[in-house]
Amino acid sequence: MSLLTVRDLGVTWSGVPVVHGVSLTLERAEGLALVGASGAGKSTIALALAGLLPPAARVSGAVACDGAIGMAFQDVGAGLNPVMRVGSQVAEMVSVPRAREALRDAGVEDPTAVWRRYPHELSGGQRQRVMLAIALAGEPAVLIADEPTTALDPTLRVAILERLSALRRERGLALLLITHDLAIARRAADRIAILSNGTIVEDGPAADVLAAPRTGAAAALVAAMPRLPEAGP
Amino acid sequence: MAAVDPILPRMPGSRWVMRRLAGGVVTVAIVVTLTFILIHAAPGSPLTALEERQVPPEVAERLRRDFGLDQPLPVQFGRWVLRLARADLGVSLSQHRPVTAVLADALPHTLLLSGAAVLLMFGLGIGIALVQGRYPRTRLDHALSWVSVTLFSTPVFWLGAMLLAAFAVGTGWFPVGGARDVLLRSDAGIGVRLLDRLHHLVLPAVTLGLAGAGLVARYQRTALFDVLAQDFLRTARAKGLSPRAVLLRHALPNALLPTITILGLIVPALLSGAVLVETVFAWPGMGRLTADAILRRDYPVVVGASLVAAVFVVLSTLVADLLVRWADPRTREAA
Amino acid sequence: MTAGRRVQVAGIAVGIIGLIAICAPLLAPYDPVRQLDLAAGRALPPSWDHPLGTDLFSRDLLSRLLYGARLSLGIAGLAVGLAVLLGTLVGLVAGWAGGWTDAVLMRAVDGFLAIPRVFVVLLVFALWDAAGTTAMVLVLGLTGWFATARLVRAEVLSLRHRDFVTALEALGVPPTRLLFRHVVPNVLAPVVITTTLGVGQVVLLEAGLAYLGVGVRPPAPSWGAIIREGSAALATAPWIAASAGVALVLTVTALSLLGDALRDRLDPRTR
Repeated sequence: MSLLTVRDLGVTWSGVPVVHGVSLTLERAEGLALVGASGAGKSTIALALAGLLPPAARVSGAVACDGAIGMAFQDVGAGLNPVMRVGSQVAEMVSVPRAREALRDAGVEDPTAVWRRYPHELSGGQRQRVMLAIALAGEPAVLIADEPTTALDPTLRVAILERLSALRRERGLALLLITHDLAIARRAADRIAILSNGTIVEDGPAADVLAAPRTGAAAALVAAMPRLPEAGP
Repeated sequence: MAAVDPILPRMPGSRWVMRRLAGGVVTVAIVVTLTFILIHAAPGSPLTALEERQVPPEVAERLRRDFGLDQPLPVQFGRWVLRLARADLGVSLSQHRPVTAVLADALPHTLLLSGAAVLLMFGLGIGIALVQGRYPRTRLDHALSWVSVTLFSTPVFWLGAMLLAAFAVGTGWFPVGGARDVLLRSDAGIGVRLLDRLHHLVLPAVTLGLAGAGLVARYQRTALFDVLAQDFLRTARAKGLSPRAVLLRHALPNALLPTITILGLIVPALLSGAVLVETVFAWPGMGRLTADAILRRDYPVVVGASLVAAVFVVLSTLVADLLVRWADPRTREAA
Repeated sequence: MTAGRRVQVAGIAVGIIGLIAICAPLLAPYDPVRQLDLAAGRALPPSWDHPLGTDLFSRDLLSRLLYGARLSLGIAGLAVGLAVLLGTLVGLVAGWAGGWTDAVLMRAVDGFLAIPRVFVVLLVFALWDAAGTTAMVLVLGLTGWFATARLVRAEVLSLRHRDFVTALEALGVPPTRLLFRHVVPNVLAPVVITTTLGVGQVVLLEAGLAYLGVGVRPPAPSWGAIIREGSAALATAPWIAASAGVALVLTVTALSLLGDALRDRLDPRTR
């Protein structure tokens, strides 16, 4: 039995099917990247899995998970409550020690330093880590990360992705990474699923999808990746 | 940085307070100047009203001396400002008492009424907006919007007259006016007297409160819906908080910030409304005093009341600014 | 209902009320100031002859209300027109000139705003010993321009130092032309919204002043004056005060709804 099984997920919004026929599985410590252009339906799938879609959306299909599903959002500046101290926000539903541990898991070396700060006093990278910590605090089995690095500069990007990989190795955390950037997917995931027009068109090991894309959508995304000389093997 | 953060929010820097106070003083100074210009731009000497009625000669003489009407304008202005600084607002032409005494009698009543009305209007207004935020874009939300806009569009004096007709004149449940029962025995206990005062306070406070609640509810709904569209609420939901907890613990504190700001705008509207409501209910406050004084051409009272009102407005804006600085960590100076 | 639709509906409502106000002489069954039968016709309840009854002076209430619409809306419209004109002018000057002119003007605005409007109006009426419709329009207009001035000034400031403005200035385009071509169109939307809401508030203010006995002289049928008269007979003839109040509520609600709908329609930031 897979840790997370999604069968035939569909989301309809005002009668318009935004997402349809989405099936995927996720194993313990596995990393799956859901890649697609903007508007393909990636965030909708993520919200549906986390149970955060508004009541107006009609969801069909089956989702089974052996554990909690946590979700970390992309922080474009308004992801944290501006008038509440950061520590209180992370510890809102868990104990303080657990919250501090979650901050450390997210890569905040000294939780005490940020605990009494307000969001506007932190840098973008720190805020993204706090968002991550909030999702990790609930000790989820599966973490859905929606564009966790898009708003960050390259060095931070790498750091966050490394952290996520470390969590997979050390805690067996399953990662569902939402991104529009295949390069990030390659870096952080074992498998890649290509999403186009609301449904998965290709799904396989990362290396395979990148080397030999079978569908037009996948090929387009691969072609759009910036070609930089590889640093080494 | 190993320093421990203080438990209490940092008080605004004294420089900021000084600057705001100075600004407030400047505004009051401008109000005083404008009022002076207004008085002297009006046709006829300030004593024309006096000459129309019989005033005791000693009062007339004192007024003539005080106003120094034979002096050039800047001198008159200077003397007037000095008198104001001594809290000498002149003499009421109809009551033959110092204006300060007249205002001092009336002010507490207005404060009581306004205070009660503010509690009501913010309580009701924020409550309505919260219900709308909990059930956004439902029929309940739209119905409450109708209620708010109707309250906002209702003349406050008419509302008072209707409440009076329904609950006092018709049924006798509440007194028809005044702040207390003048026939109450002087040895009546403090409890009885307190109850009597409250009994008289209900209708006028409800009138002002209802009228203001419409404004507050409209404003608060907009502020709340702005906040509800923000991402951090989604983060809160993702933690597993109930919709009610998300609304009260995350949305409301943020949505109250713009509402505190309008406190400075609400106070002038409140005082304006108080003039009408106090007249309807014969409430012995500054508003009714002013309205009566107008009809009797007792302009020293009108001027005095206007100045006091302006000072209150300036003070309330200052308080509102302080509250916002205290409540919103983004407005405070960096560590 | 979409914002555009609401503008239409509210606009029609306001239009109907305006039309009624204009056509009052055609619609009113009686002369609003004519006392019909002082002996037996005072404070009559609603009947076939008098759909809303008569007031304390045996005048037909319906006719008085219809003419009252004319009076109240007329005063409010003119006063707000004056205020908007004045406010726009001051805002344009303050925003464009900047420096001392701006500082002085805005400080004066702060001062004016500190005195509650009713007090200012009452003060002016007391000092000038004024009464009547013209006085009311002038006073209300001269005390209502501050919000518009601030709005317009803010808009001018945001555009004042933009590159395209500097370029046009360098070319020798006179400031007035610049202001009217570029600033005024941008500021039109918020001004229209505040104007619509402002008319409603001024109608209420004028009614309140009439209730206090200030402003329009009897027997002018200002709705506020009718409520004033009706308040003396709340127990015996409640329809007098009630009907005038309902008229006020309906009118101002329609105006407020129109203002709200316009704001939703014109301001892309609000929902």
